[in-house]
Amino acid sequence: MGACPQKIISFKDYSVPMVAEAMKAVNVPEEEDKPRIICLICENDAYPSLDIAGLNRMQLNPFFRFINLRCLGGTNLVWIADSLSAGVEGIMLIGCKYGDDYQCHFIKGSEMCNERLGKVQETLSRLMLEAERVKQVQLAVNEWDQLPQILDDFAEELKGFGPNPFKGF
Amino acid sequence: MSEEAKNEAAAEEKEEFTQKIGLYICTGCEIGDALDIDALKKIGEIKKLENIKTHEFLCSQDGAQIIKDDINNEGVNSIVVAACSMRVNTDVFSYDPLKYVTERVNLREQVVWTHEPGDEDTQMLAEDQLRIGLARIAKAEPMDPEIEPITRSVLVIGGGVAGLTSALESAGAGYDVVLVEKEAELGGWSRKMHKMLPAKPPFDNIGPSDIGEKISAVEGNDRIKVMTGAAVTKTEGAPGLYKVTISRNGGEETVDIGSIIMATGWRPYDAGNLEHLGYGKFKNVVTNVEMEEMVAANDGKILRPDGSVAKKVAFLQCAGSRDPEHLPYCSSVCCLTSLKQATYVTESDADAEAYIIYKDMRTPGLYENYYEAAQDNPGVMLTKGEIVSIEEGADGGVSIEIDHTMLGEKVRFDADMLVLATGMVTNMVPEGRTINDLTPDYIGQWKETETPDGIIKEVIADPHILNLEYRQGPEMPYLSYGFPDSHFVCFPYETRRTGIYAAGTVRAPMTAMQSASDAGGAALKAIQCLELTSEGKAVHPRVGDMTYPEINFTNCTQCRRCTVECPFGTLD
Repeated sequence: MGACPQKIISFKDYSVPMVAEAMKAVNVPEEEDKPRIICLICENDAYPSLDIAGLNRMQLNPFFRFINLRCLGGTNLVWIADSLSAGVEGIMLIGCKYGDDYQCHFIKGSEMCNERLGKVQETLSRLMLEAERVKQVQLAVNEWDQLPQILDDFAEELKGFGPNPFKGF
Repeated sequence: MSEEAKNEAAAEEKEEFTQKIGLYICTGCEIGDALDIDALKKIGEIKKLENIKTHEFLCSQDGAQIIKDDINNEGVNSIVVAACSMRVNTDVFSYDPLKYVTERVNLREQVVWTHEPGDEDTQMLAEDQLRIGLARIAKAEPMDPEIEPITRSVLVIGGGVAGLTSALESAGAGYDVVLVEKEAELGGWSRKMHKMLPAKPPFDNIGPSDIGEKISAVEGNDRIKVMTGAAVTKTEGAPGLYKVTISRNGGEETVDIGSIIMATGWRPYDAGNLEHLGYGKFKNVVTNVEMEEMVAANDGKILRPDGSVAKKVAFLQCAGSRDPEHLPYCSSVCCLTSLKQATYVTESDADAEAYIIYKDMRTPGLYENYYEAAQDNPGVMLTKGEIVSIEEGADGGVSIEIDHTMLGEKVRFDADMLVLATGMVTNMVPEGRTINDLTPDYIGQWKETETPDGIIKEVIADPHILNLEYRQGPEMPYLSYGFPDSHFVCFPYETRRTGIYAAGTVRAPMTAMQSASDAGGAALKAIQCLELTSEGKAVHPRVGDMTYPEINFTNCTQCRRCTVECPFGTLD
């Protein structure tokens, strides 16, 4: 799903248009103090980490909108451009660690996502948006207690850029 | 609805899935207290959903029943459960994936438990998450697994202890096995051993190898077809549907195979690189493998290569191991092997002595009991130390000087023979290649291809064991030191080729007992693969998943990026 530039690879219950529609379904208010940040989370480490944060009643920043992926490797770059031009302030991708001691259950998924995000810089500058509005985070399931800080830090960074000029269109 | 009408409707549904969504909101677990549930219901109403229900305890029998009732009586076939995490209550909210689609909206862990109850922003979050769930389900269809008749047979490549054990385990579970061994005889390295490391509790004593029994059991088993002096020359197909070509005695045979176990074992690190430790320089410096073979051939007598008796034998651990210039890793078996061979020495003669020079003594797990027993053996001396020099000693022996001992001073002593405890290299690395000169990902050659986009460099694996007819090459990728990559943390028995399972020393250094246990695990995985595949279900990493990538070829530009990037080499 993430590899295909034509977006023609899909599953019966999981596809590029499905996630695109899910992102469009998010309501983006006009008010500056109500930012919206899309958060793509992988089902193997990121989603369970959020669950455990919930079990421990850790409080999270309320402006993130969670969309599940099987693996960050399924991230298609078309989603980045689409959601940013819909007025979303930023996109965070939380997935498993990659590298020598990798955790990614799909072996290379989060690593490939990271490489592909490098290609999205051109898209972002065409939209006159800061490259740092898209951020991938490697999270091991036992690092769930870092989530509040991770989300807050990103929200703070986005605030520093000022509102997305597409917000309210 | 009449029975006839119901059947007609069911037949229609098979062709085209006309979605009817039901939205079920649980107000339990503080969800009802924290959120404006009516506002959530409105979101469903805006989408014109006819079936929107709430329950204060949705996962209870009563709660689950309201969903079942809607499915049976209202024709709901797309169920949105807005409640707890999708990772819990999977048995309660489980609807036949061949007929229905289900979406779990996490209002509990990801909304109510992590955000301020009653707060405006929390409410907006919940509403958006619900919108996301409704958007997702609108694009979902029931699963349609591909089910084809498969071959319920297992191919085992390698006839050593791991291969023999996995063959016996698979046959014992009722599956046909084809066992391919490249040598003329079965048994692998175990055949050449004089004795085996402890294999039974309390693991404090060496004993005879049971490889003879395993070989007889395999040869006598009707379900196992043994092919010695044979090699796999081509593997085509997919799990459940492999066609494997095996060559033997100049002839070829293609067999239908369901899943594959790769148990091709190890070889010793090339001691030719250890001249600085005396190998090749002095005639009575041997490797642990040579020592084992000599003792076995001489029926327990400790004789040097020239035939004379050795009464003082020194063992040097980590010879060419834990060394970035040789094998950077520890083979976990050599310390135990030296203890075993030290026992041979003391068993051979009341006056015989063994000296083990180590950096660390590594005897993992319950093998510790054997280490303790060896320490109690008065003929076995163990000392920490690093080699300063190895020179030719009196009478063809060796004179060894070591430093950094626990005495805090250098020590020199003589021995009749020096055994270098060398490590293990996986047979996934072809002969003639070392682990220090491997190409990245695959063991092979760099290949440059000219394309309209410029020159593309990729590694093509050298054909070796599997000879796969796959776009990503004939062999599987390695992660470190040539060992097959597997996602060691979560799926250690898997490899990056679905349906192929690595077992024994080909996948990690281990003892014969550990190899046998590993082989049992691989057999289990190989059988699991067959059974799941026969039901149209995925094996790994999403066990039981009946979805699979579907490609709309009308718009395909044949860029092949998917075939190149798939970590499992699935697409061709």
